[in-house]
Amino acid sequence: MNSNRSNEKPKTKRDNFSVELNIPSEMEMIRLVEELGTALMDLRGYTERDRDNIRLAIHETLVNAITHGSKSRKPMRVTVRFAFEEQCFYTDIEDEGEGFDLDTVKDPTHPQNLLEPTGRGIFLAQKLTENFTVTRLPGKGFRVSFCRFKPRKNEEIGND
Amino acid sequence: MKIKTRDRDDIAILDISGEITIGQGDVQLRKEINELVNNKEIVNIILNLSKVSFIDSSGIGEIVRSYTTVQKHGGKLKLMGLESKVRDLLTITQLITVFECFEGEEEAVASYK
Repeated sequence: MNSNRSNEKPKTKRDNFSVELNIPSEMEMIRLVEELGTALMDLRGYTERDRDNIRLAIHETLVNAITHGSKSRKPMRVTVRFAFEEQCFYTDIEDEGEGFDLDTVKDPTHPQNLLEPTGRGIFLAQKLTENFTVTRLPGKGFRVSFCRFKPRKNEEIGND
Repeated sequence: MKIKTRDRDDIAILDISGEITIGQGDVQLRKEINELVNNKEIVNIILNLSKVSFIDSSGIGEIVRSYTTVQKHGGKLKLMGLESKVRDLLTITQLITVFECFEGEEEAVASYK
């Protein structure tokens, strides 16, 4: 795990503070990553609702990365990066799997899909976060990125 | 996750506590529902979710599967005691339009009469 609090001038605002984990692509690792992410949000005073939403987004993205990665016979790794900008908490999750196309994810709220037992994970992660993107990393795998802006004081009232 | 099942007026009430997530709570819930529907002709079930601290898409999917399983056996599955975070997820997924949800047990039990 790398923790960077250097006094050097950051290259970008996202370098203000970042933590990176490189973990085996195993379900047992998910809880650890969720707890680190929510603990970091605690440090910056995010609301309980924000922490719950980001925890679920991290959880669903990791489940997706690990279950898709497990289709391969070779051991896979997942890289998770948390970073703070002044008013935003960023999460990047990179896997070595085949990824998915966001445009082909079925809408689970469509009447035809409403009673399907699966297919809500990425949909929820997308709905609970901001700037949700999926990027193909040539020769490597896929990166899912999302963030959560810290609400201003007047927005925090009534958020819980 | 823990499930305590009790009977009231021929309705099975499942008091669920803890986290309903992939590979853990979801499997346990499926097993419990299957046991209930296979042991009775018609079964009405209330899931008490007031002590559920975290639920993921697999947990939500398992509640959907439970709903359709009970329906196929001629019964009705209803929800009670939804915490705001669970209610929010059911709203986002529009499942709130599918399930009958109640604040308390009296109201939920009375709805079957």
